[in-house]
Amino acid sequence: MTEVAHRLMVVDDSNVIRRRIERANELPGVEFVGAARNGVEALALYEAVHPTLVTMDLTMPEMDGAECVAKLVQRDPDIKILVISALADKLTAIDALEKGASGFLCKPFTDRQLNEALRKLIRT
Amino acid sequence: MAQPVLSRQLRWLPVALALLCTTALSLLLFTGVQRAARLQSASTALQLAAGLTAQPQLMRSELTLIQRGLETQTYVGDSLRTLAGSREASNVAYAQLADAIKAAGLDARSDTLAMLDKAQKLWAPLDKGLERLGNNKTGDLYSDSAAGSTLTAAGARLKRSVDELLATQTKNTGALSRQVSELAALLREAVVNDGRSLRALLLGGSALAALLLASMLYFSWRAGQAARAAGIAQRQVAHIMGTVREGLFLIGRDGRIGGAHSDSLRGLLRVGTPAGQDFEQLLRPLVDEKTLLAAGKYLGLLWKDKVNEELIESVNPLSQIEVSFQKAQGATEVRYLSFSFRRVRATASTADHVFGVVSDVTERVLLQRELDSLKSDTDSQSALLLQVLQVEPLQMQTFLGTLDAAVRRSNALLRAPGKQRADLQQKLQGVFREMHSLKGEAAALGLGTFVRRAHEVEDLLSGLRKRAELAGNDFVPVVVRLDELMTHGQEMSALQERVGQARSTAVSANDLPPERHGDTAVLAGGQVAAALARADLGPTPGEQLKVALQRLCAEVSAASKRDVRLLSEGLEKVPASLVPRVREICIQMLRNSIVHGIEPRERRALTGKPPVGSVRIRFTDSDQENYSLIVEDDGQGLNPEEIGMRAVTRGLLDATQAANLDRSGAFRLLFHPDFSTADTVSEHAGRGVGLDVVNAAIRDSGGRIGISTTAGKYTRFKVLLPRAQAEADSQSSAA
Repeated sequence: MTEVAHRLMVVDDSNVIRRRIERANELPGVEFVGAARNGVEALALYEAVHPTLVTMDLTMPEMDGAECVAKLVQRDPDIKILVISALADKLTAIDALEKGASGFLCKPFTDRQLNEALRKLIRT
Repeated sequence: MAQPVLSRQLRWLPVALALLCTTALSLLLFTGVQRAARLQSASTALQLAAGLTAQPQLMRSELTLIQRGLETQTYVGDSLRTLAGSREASNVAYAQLADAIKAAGLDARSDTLAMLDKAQKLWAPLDKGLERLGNNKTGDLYSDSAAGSTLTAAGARLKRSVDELLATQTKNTGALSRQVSELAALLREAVVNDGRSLRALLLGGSALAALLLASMLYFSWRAGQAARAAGIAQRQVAHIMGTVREGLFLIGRDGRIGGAHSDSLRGLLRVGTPAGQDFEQLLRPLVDEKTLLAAGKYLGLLWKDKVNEELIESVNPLSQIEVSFQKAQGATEVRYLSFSFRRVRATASTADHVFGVVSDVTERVLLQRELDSLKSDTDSQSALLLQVLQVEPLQMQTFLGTLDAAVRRSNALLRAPGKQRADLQQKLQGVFREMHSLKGEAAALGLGTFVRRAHEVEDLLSGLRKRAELAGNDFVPVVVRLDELMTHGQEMSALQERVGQARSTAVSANDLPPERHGDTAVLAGGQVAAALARADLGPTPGEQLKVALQRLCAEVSAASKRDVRLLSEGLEKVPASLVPRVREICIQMLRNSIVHGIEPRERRALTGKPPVGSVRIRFTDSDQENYSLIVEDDGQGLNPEEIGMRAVTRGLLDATQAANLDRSGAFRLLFHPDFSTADTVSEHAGRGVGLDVVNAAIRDSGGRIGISTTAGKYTRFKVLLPRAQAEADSQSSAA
């Protein structure tokens, strides 16, 4: 089987989370291609790096995660997005999933949970 | 039970076999029918040929009869008619023979046709002659006169023709007979052959039919077995569905519940016939509008192919819901239900379902609540009392004093002006240090209720620290918690007082030796209390410190599952004024040593170390200028690379900085407020404040700290505290 390369973009306004995801990713075939701090940056970065996988925070300045999900899916219907957020309001998370995200990971999470979630995301 | 289930490939074998047999059989039958038709034609041909074989001889005999008759003037009419009939019959037979040979497929054989051709050629002149003979006959053959009967002209003509025919065709008729009988032999052979092959075909057909029958029988046996197995499986499913306590059901794309569901579903949802009902409509009276909306959307997500159902389980709005059912007398019954859903993918996507499981988790929820309330009850009453009884009264008073001061300082910090982000972060950091230090003191005394409260404030603060934006209002919960901490201190103080009173009453009544009993009478009540306090006080502050550290060591090693022995030396020599500072430093360092330094027992065994780790604390006052405090553990030592990596994870350094990090730079990082090498945040370590507190305490005393370590062997912290500063502090506090 040929190794399919997945290009991972991280969208989160927290430095710590961005670095953690970048460092924690240890899946074969997943390459980290860039990180954005908000939705506007994410859309700009999308044009530059064309990611296939995205981890997306929901509450961010500039443009929130759900809106960004919708715009990314508009650009690439096959893009796989993992929404990462604290589970304060399930409806908000469900909204983002309705807009085209593929999965949800609850903050706080361990590196193992993150990797497991990314693995499932790829399988989707 | 062994199920007669064949593997996938084998299952199609009988079908293929039956199909093959049927096809072959049809082909055979078709060929057989053809062969039979040919056989029929061949035997007709044989009959015709056999009939023709005798004809030439017959005709010659008739001709001879006619010749004789004409010579003796007898009646030849019958013979002439017979001859004409024979000729007619032969002509018809030859024509039919040609057709029959063609129909029997024998025309493919050249010898048959050649023979027929030859026979026809031999027959043609005879036929012509006979035709002429027939034409000749006009009028009477004889005329009667006195001299007797004589031939008429016609009779003479006939006689000439007969004579001529007999003369020319005698040889011919012999040849024709032979030829026709040879053809008949050939045809007989063909008939025999055809018959034989037809028999073979029939035999093959019978065999095939038998095979077909066998495979049919096998089929029906299999079908019977499968039906039996299906029947058993169906009964088992029915048993499961009737017995299982969870409500199991399927939801179709139209949102309706499927016909097959477990019996419990009725009881759980209090619905008589859930089958065919709309799931959302069933939920509507049970949950609030928002949950209903979320549930509808969540179920919608399960149908989306792009969504990974395993990755959305955590947003299931029905994972635990509180529902109220109306009871007969107008009362309501509250239950807790837990739903989970899975998409069931059928081969045809239109047949897909969502599989739902609902269970009643009321017992679990209520039990959890009960446990929680029990825990907080225990926390508020017996734990407090136990703490009061366990801790030396003076130590408790000292602690309560420290608590009071720490909360006041924290409140002052929070009230201080400064709304900028940096200011607010600094406030956070300050309160954090206070709480961490307080937590350490509480743990050293075994005051669990205070440890927990201080830890909760830390939790709040670290939550705030992660926020991008901070406003003054964000600190309100912290202030509330601090207030609660203070109140808890006051409760403790009041309780201690009451216990103290009870204790002094008990002591005055029973415990004093009889000979001193008389003396007590002359002492004023206050003096008794003071004496008792002194008696309780007993050990010097340095000795108390020693005991407190032993207690802390036991508690922290139990909590972090390490086996550790604390060896202290010279702590009794710590001047009273320096005790709080030394205590603060020792508490943090001891915790760090146990949590970060000493390895678990198994790992120590692997590296050949004694199973029980040791931490040594040594205080010396032999130097003229400085007191020295050494805290040393025989744990895993410090690893500068690991420290660098951790700093990157914590966001303190980037990868390049980490790569260029030297040993002393790495050790300096240990004192950074945000640094910690423990993996989890517990009450004892992990927030990265421990060494920060040490650093602050040493800085305040004008002292310094040094680290020496060898990876895998030991870590030693040496703290030097200037005597001059200590004395000045002692004077200022005395004043």
